Amino acid sequence: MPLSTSNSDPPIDRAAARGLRTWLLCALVVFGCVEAGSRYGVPLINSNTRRFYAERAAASRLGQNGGASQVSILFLGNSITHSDIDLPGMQAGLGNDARVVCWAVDDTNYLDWLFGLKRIFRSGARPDYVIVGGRSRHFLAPHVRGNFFAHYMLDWPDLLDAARRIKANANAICSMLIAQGSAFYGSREEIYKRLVTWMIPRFAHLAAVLNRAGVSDAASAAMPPSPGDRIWEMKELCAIHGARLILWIPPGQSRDRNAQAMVEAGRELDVPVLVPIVEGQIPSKDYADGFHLGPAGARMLTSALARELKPLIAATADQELRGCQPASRIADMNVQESRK
Amino acid sequence: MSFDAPVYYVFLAIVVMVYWRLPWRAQNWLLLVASYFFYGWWDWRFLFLIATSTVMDFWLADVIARSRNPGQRRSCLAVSLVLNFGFLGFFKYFNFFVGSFRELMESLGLGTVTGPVLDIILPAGISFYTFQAVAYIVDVYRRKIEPCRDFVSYALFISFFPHLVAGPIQCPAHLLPQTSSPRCYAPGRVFDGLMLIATGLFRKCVIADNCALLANAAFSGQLGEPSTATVLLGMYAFAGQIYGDFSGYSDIARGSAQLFGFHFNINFRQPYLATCLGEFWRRWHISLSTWLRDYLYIPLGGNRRGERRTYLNLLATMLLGGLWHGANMTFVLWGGIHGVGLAVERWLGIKPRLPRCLAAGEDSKGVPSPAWSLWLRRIVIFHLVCLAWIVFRAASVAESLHYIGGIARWAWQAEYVTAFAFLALFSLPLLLLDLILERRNEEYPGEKWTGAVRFLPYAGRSALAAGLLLMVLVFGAPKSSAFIYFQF
Repeated sequence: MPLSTSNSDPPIDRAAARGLRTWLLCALVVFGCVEAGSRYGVPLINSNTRRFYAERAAASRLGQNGGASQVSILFLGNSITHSDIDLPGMQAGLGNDARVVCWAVDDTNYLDWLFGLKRIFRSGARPDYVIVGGRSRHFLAPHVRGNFFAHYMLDWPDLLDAARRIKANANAICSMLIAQGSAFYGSREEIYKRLVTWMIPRFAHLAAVLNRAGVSDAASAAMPPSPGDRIWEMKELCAIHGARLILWIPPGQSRDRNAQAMVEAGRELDVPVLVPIVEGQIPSKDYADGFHLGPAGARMLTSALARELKPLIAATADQELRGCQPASRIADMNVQESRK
Repeated sequence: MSFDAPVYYVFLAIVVMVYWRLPWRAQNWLLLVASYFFYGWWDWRFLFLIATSTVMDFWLADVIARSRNPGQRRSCLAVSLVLNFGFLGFFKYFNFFVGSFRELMESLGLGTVTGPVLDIILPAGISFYTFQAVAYIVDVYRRKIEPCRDFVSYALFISFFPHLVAGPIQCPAHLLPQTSSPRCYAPGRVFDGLMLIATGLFRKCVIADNCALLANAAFSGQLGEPSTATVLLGMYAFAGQIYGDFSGYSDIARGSAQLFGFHFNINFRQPYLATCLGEFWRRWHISLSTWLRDYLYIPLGGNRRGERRTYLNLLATMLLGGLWHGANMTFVLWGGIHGVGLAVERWLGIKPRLPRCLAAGEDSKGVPSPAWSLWLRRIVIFHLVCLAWIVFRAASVAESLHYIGGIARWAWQAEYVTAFAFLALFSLPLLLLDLILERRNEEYPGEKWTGAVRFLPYAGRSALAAGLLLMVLVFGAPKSSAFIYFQF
């Protein structure tokens, strides 16, 4: 009973008090249903969400059985990686010595990947190679994929670091915090898109137009001056966990103006930046939508990329045969020592 | 801390739960601390500004009330006005006036004038709490109210967090007695507060934020060069956005205040159903139009000094009301359009309808209007208001003219069908909501439901709220846009 009511106050309206409890109960039921639906229902009906979770789980397990003879390779990126790499083709191209896993999350960029890597490394993933694909604007983007990133790619301990990197204000930090724990909050954007598309079938086309403003605004807001810092940062993260970093730049119908700067930065930092196919090499009919390749284009790119990757991976294997400890084992030893 | 951010509701729930367990003086302290925390969440540096202004006004009002010397009273009033409008002028208008003066000198051919341009951050809510402080000091000066004797009650009157950042501007005679006396816990009022919050969230997250996606794309050229379709899309979308945004904010503010036992006056009453501009201003941002009427229009002479002076007063009031929104000529022009419109209506003898006529669909003389006439006038006024919104929304006067000019250019893209469908999906519910509220004379849907069993209307309204919350969760635009009136 509230203290501020006194004998002179009107008696409490019992019906209203019950109404108030009913209101709160209804609100709780709504939140509960929405959260449960997002956690268990959405992956059942949304193939994308299902794929995201399956790929993250596979990436987290990669290289965990330390002594395996196969070289474990993680392909990380956004929808371009998903569409442009023909995974069975890549597996065939690299041979049976390699085990290839793809983790491709739509609409993600460098910071999403960086914190995603931190998360899977923390959960025990020890790939031998991390191969990240994206155009230079993806590597230089200052933003992340909102609450989806916070729920799906970010790990609790990295929250403040991520907030600092994306210059999040207190409201945004709290939203990220809530998204960490809530599957609904994390996947709200997907649910919204699906429902609106269900009502307005051509919404995806309109959304692409509406999002163009957001991308160009965000991209022009705070571009880092050089890709070198980011490549170095990701290389260090991979090295600590025993993985080698390789970058690749997918082809596009327009020229990637910063691609050369990325290649040069990679050369200085001893990180291979591969450009398996240059602009114009793939006919425009093999693009699905101007950005992503269709099946034929993907096959062409995959075989070109596999050709460039194979010698790089073979060189590492030679190094190991000559007596060097595999990097992943060194990392595991470091972790064990630090635990002692 | 924004009203549409989940963290606000965590904060609100904690404060409410502690609040009702305290005696009333401690309640005031709690609300004051919570309000300062809420304000400091944006930028703690501006806490000193609001605190300074609060202390000075409290002291000056006390001196004004005690003094019997008219000169001293006037001086204290002047000091307070200079202080309040000085802060507002510096933070909000300094660069605007320096820039405008420079442009004027150059256009008059008086050479290039150099002046300082400062990198000034606008303190959140300064326009709102300044107007509230000015209303207090002027009312004390006019001896309409007694000065508040308790500093905490006065500080709470200025900084109470539900109205602090974007109003509604509270009349001192309405809010001060509430901060100065104990509030009693009434579950029915708390229930109404929760319903207002649910309605407000629906207006903001479902209507305004979705309309904002289209409005931003249309005004930034993402939908193509200005043409008949893009101008209509942009105009209607922005009309939905600004109304959903600000009325949603006001509902959440009023609902939040009601959880603590406070009552705020209504700020929006279905403005797009107005049949003349005069009526529009009795329905749109009522707290601001009341303030402008009481503290600007009437002191200027109102309608007591002849017709010509009345027109001038109307125009001046609306121009200043426009300038209050922001330091840009677009706002002045927007105010000017409304001022001229109000003057023309007065000249034509069109009178706003009284509130009791609104629900009954009667005209200003209390005579029932035929539906077609009512709707025709509503449509005309709505489009006039929408045209003025284009000026309000544009970055500059030239851009607004360019945009309006585009309406004569026909161009069509396949996406426009989807865009109009999207607009209809997220703006028609607002129209439907307003029609229900207008017809039933309610502040939120279901407010006046009755039933044989007293609990049933509560259960029905709870189910309605659950539906609204579900809509907010699943149809709320994923990228929330900041409340428009926060920037004012």
